[in-house]
Amino acid sequence: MAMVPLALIVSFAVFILMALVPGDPARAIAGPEATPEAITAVREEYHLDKPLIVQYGYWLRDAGTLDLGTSRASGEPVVDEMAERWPVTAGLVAASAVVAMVVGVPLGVLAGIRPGRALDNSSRLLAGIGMAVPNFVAAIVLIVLLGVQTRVLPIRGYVPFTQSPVDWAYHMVLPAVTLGLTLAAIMIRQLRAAMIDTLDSNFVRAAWARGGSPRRVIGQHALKNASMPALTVFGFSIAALLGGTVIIEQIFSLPGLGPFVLSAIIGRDVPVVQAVTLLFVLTQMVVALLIDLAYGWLNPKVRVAQ
Amino acid sequence: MTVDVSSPTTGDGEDTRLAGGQGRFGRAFLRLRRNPLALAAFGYLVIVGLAAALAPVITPYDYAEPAGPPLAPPSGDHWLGTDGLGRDVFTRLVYAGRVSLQISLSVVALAVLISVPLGLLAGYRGGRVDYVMMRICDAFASFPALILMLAVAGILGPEPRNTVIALLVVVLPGLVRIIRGQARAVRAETFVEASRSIGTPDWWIMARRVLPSVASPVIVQATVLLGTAILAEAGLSYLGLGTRLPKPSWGNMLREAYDTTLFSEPLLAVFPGVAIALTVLAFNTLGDGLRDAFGIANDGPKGRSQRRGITTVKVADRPPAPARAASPGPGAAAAASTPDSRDLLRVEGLRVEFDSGRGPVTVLEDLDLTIRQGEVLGLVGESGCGKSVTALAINRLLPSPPGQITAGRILLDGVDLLGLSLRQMRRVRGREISMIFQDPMTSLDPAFTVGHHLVEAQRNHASVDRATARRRAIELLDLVGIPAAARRMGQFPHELSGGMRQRVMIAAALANNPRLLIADEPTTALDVTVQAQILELLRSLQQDLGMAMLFVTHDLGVIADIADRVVVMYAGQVVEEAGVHDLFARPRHPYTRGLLRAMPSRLTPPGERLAIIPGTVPLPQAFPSGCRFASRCDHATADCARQPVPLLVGADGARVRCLLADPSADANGVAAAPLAGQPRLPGGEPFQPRAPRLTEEVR
Amino acid sequence: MNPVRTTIGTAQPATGTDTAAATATPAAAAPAARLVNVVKEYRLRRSSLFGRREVLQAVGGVSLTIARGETLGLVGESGSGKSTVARLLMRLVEPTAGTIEICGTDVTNLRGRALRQVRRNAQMVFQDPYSSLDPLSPLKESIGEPLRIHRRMGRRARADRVGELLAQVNLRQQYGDRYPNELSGGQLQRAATARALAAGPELLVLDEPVSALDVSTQAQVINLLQDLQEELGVAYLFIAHDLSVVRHISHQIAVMYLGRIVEIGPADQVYERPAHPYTAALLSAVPVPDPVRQRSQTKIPLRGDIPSPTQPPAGCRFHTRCPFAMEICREQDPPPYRTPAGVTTYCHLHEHGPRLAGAPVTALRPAEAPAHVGGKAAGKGDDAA
Ligand SMILES: Nc1ncnc2c1ncn2[C@@H]1O[C@H](COP(=O)(O)OP(=O)(O)OP(=O)(O)O)[C@@H](O)[C@H]1O
Ligand code: SF4
Ligand code: SF4
Ligand SMILES: [Mg+2]
Repeated sequence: MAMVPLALIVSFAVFILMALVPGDPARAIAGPEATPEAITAVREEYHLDKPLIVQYGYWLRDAGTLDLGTSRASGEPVVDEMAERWPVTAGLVAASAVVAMVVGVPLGVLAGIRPGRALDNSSRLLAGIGMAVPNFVAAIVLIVLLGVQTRVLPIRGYVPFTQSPVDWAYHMVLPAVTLGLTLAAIMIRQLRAAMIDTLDSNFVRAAWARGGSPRRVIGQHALKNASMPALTVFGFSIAALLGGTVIIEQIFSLPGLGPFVLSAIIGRDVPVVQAVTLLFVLTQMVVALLIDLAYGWLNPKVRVAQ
Repeated sequence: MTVDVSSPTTGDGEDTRLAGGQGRFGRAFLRLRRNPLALAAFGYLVIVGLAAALAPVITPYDYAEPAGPPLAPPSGDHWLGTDGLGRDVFTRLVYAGRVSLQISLSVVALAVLISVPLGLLAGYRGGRVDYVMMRICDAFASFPALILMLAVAGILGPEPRNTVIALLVVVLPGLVRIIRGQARAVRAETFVEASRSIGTPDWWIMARRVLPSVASPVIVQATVLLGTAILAEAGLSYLGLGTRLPKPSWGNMLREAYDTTLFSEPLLAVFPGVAIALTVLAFNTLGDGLRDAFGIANDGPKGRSQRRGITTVKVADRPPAPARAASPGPGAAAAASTPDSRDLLRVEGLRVEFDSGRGPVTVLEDLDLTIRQGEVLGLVGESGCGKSVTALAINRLLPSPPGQITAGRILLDGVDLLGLSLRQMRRVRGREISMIFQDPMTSLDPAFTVGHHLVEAQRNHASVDRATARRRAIELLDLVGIPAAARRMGQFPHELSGGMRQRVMIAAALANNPRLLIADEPTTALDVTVQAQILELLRSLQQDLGMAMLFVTHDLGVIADIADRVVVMYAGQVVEEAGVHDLFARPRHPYTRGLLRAMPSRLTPPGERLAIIPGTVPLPQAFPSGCRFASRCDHATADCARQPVPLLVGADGARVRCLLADPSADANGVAAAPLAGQPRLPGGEPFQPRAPRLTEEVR
Repeated sequence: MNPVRTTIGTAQPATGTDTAAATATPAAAAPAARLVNVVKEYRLRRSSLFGRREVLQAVGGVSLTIARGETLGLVGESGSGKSTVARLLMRLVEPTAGTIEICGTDVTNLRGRALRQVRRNAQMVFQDPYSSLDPLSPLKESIGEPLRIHRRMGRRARADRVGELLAQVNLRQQYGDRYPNELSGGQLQRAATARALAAGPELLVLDEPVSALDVSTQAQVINLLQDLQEELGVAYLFIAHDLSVVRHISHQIAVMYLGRIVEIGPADQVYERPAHPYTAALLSAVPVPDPVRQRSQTKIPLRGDIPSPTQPPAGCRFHTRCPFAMEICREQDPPPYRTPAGVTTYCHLHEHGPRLAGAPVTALRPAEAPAHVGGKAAGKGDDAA
């Protein structure tokens, strides 16, 4: 329920982005050659003559009915343009999350079970690199190595999932790997630390003392408890993945929301920036909510407290 | 943890001695110097920093002007070659570093300056201020940071100042949150409450108590944030919203290479990429190093590691494990009392070492004990004397590393448990030997129900189906006096009180009718009235089920209540063993006598001064080679400190490790000075010289 | 026997729970501290969106007086509100109702500077020696903090005084330059005592000062506390869950259960002739380090655990666990009963049922002694289920 004030603050912050733009927004909307009358008309139509908080009220009301205005660049309703691009971005984020899980979870867990071993050292190295290498650098390196030199993977282009899941996956490999790398690194670190802590805990010792097998003690008791903090971090990282699509989609020429919002930012197309940010924030919040639910399943104490 | 590694008196003894009287920065510095990785990172950063600061001196070229032919390969003139416009790449790289570092440093400096007061205020004050600030931070956290940064930078325009603002917006909320969390944690510390109780004003507490405590995490965080800022700046510049060409930054150099010469000259993209990655890596590594050096978070054991779940045994001359139920091995001849068919478990000459990071430390030495069938053996001693280590070692439950068993045997039915594999050991644990622990709050897995624990305990050892196991689980809960047992099955540990949890632990321990129950301070965390219930329960269960019990406690009153025979430990050794009545009536070791007299009880006259044992228990690193009690003993002579004192055995099986005591002294012997409630004896008087009636010496 | 003790034992009319005597007294003769009907409630966070805001009554109307130079021992199980009483007395938490006096000054509504002034008269020692001194400051700095705050002493004078204080608590002078992690628990607790004494208080509030210590070091600290009291005439509120320790050091003893005092009076009376079933049960539950006595002593078994303070039982709060509970106990809160020996107790047994009239409850046999302790015991709120 802490979500309600949060949602209000966030939407207000999104809205306020507009007020930060230097210059007269009405003039910007009406165009450079507009007459003073036209500008006044625009000002009234968009309620720009009202105090900021009232404008926010209107904006919120419109946003509630899925009316997020029209793009100043294309003149199209922002919602329509977003609906077209959202599947690309959502797919990329989902694929990256899967990559992060597939790489991060086993490595983190195994490293935590046997700290100091070769596997641990190499996963920690991988994690160190993953945290330090920005995804656009990783993307470029992979493009050069895999796309250009050996041509095993496509380096640009997109095939909708609905058209051909296999081709979609094929085109998603490089973008998803580059985007998921940092999160994988974070997951490795988190899980490793959590496993080490948990394996040292009293209840794990008690589980050994009952004669539990490694599968039961490590695979059940330790893993379930260690996954709680990792899950929280994972949830928080969805925002970072969404943000990362801006660069990754640009590099791999994917027709998603990233390049769309980037050009909107550069062109100061405020409704588009607002709308995309809002969508991303809402997505993040929904994911956080889902994570909270999963957390309640993992940690019954939370279930009661909430 | 039942075994407290980090207790201030025992955990870090070596380190504090090493840096005696030194502040935390001095100590952190010493520790950092031993971390080659962090040092390397630091060295690299110093070089990068110097290069950036001295850029005009280092390179003769201008970063914006062609300095040679385009795309020249690396050479003496152009160390890294030239780019598509003929500009010197090395020069551009160095100047780009200058830009990146300038921006990152300003961002982090500003972030620290702003967030420290905000975080301190929110964390220390709490309440409404805190609520509002945290909701704002939450809101920022749910924004995709990159988009937020792009939006701010895009709206404000690409100027260094605006880049700094954009980055600040991104890093600030996280930093405020971290400092606030630290401040809150410090505020909850007793020493802050102590300051408040003194009457110290809030501002003084914040400045002098809270601020210094958050300093080290802030330093660590700032270091890591420098890396983050470099990354973010590179991202902005890459997208054309940060540093603008022709002014170089690592991000825009990369973009330029990507746009123009990626396929013809990929190296041009590699240089800035590597620069970014190395610098960020260096900041991260240094941050990790600082974190370790300040002791903020321990990343767990770093060295070599063992398979978990069983204690490593490294016994040099261990005889091959005798076959099942074979006759006792050769070592047994020298043991305390002769093996007896009633002996259930015999521990012989056990030694345990811990790896302290600076060599092994022996925490348990030459430990012998025998537990007979159906008896309660009490193991008593002060904190850190090795009681828990003993209890855990028997079931091979000491964590390895750092723990290791380096000598001795643990015989159950003649089988040496030290020779078993984890798979074999699992058949002993929970079936032959069960355990319950001190802290019922943390010994049950919070993520599983009561029922799960009980069912699991059975299914670890027998292939019973769930329904049968559940039925038996309910019976067990009934047995340990838990009302409404069926309903409790579905509850989680946190829904039970401490006493109930300990009952659940007991029920799980009894699931397979063990022959020995090891109870490590099972009542210490409980209130006296609940303790009385649990003791009563344990006693009646022990008698009804005929199992033996090793009962570990520091409380002599509890020992008097439950034990049949008592072993007293001091500083990692057994110092005395006797039947319970015997021990309390005629304590033979000066330590036992001291303990009994130091305890106020209903038997000591109120108001009177208590007898004290001066000084404190030595740390394992500093165990003396002679009698370990010598520095605190009223009766110590020069002989006592000279060499290890053997454990002497009396005719009745009583044992004592003291040169002056007579283990065999009977009720009329002078050695048995009366105790409990009597006025303190004048020093030196009560001990007989060693009596001639000694039967044998043990090691 | 300690001579001080005997005198005070006989001449202490002002002690006890007599609220009638709570009229203003001249400061010099005023007791070191007095609580009159002090209540502390905490509002808990809503357990769910639709749940009620639960109120936890940590202290439910406590009155007590600590005479100058005397020790009042406060015992009770965890969660009974002992530490809250200590913190209320120190004004570290705000009372919900009632009056708090320190050395005759009503401090209930003081704040800011005025409150800090009063704090000089009452200082506190905490349970955990390892965390009650700032780990980043050398001991002399921590010990000197009250001098700096209350006496505005300069560096020089402070160093001298800290030296004296260290000597007073039997710590070597060099320890002033050490950091807390370099000392043992017993030494730290002595340093904390030195800090508490620095400003020259009339009252020390000792919240479980020896609970974290080993037996051998515990005795050192207890002896020190007794010496200091004799020397400086400082009064103690001594809190512990170890009844033997409390008995050893206290002149008066108060027994708390679920936020209320159930019995208060001279130490020997309370211990030897407990007039409240809870006191008797608590005493019988303490294991005595003598196997013969421990095994033969009759125990008064208590069922179950202490109920949740958010839902204290109606009537006598102890009735869910009391082996002597009667009909009236479930309905009526027992009024104070003053025994001839000067003990105030809150139990119906003295005027109803067996009409003990001040006789110890140990004379009674439990109505239905549970065969198997806790066998049919009730856990938290199980009775209703
Ligand atoms: N994991 C560990 N690493 C290093 N040293 C350890 C570890 N566990 C225990 N020790 C050391 O072994 C010694 C004995 O510890 P042990 O826990 O057995 O004492 P104890 O008698 O059970 O004390 P307590 O009464 O506090 O439970 C102590 O000096 C302790 O510091
Ligand atoms: S051997 Fe000496 S020092 Fe040790 S306990 Fe006996 S008399 Fe004391
Ligand atoms: S009033 Fe009743 S329930 Fe309360 S203590 Fe006395 S006898 Fe027991
Ligand atoms: Mg222990």
